[in-house]
Amino acid sequence: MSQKVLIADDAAFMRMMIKDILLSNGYEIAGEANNGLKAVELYKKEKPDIVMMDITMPEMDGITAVKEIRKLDPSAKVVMCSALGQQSMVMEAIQSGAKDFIVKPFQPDRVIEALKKVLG
Amino acid sequence: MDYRKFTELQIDALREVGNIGAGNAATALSQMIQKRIDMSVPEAAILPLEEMIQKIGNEEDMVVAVIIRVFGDAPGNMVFLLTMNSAHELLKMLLDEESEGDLTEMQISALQEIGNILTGAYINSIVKLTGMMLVSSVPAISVDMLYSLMTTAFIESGQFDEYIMSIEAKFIMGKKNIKGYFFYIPKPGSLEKLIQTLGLA
Repeated sequence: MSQKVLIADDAAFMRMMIKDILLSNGYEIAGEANNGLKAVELYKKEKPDIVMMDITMPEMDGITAVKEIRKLDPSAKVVMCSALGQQSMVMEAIQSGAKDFIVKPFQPDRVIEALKKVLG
Repeated sequence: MDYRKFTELQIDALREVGNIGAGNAATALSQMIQKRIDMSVPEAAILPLEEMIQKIGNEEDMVVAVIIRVFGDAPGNMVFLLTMNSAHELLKMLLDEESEGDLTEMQISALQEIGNILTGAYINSIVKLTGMMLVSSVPAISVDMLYSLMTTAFIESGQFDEYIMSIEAKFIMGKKNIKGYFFYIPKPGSLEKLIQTLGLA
C-alpha cells in the first residue's frame, strides 16, 4: 500500500515540485497545506504517514507546526524542508520532533532518501 | 516589459526562487556572525518604484547597499540593503566594537565582504536549482539616500517601466530588529528565462 505524504509549503511551485517527485516514486499525496496552521488541521483530518514541512510560512511557521502536530500525535513523522539551513534551525527542528532536515535547493534523490530513512 | 502579465504560478515560482536564495544567504551570514538569523516570508512584488521604496523607509533615509552585477543566463543586479542603523548593529556584531556615524574603511570593507558572501550564496543556490550559468561581479558598496540608491540600481538594470518586479526578503537578527533587504533586479528578459528554465513558460 502506498504511503501518504502531507506537503506543507507556502509556495505553490515548491508543492508542485515535491508532489512530482513523490508521485513518480510511488508515494501518495495526503494533502497540501500552504501554512503551518492548515498543516496541523490537515494532519488531524488525513492522518498522513509523513509530513514534508517548510519552515518560513505565514500564519504559523513550520517549527511551531511540528510541535503542534507532535502534541496531537507523538509518533508523527515530519521531515523539514527549508532554505534556512542554519545549525540552530536544524537543532530546533529536530528537538521539536522532526526526523530529518532537507536544505533547499535539493535534489529529488535527497527527498526520497529522507522519506525512506524515516518511514523505513 | 509589463510584469503584470505573469501568472500566479509563475510569480509564486519566482518568489520561491527568491526565498531559496535569501534563505541560503541568511545561512551563510549566520555562519559568519555566529548568530541565528530569521527570515520573513519573502515577497515577489510588482509595484511602482515609489511604492517599493516606501515599503522600506523614507526616500531620504540613508542606507547602505552592496550591489553586485550578475552576468550569464539571467543577468541583472543584486542589491543587499540595510538602513544605517541596521548596518551599525550588524557591524557591532561582526567586528565586536561600537559603531556610529560615518563608516570607517574597515567597516566598509566588512560590509562589502558580507554583501559578497550573501549574494554569492544567493546566486549559487539559484544555479543549483536551475542549472543556469550565473557569475557575479566584484561588489560595489554605496552609502546614499534610499531613493537615489534604488532608482540607480533599477535604471542600471534597464528597467525603465513604471511597474517593477523585485524579490524581497527581510532578515531579522535577534531582538535588535536588524532588517536587511535583498533585491534581485533582473534585466529585461531574465525573469522570462528563469521561468522557462523552471518549466513554467
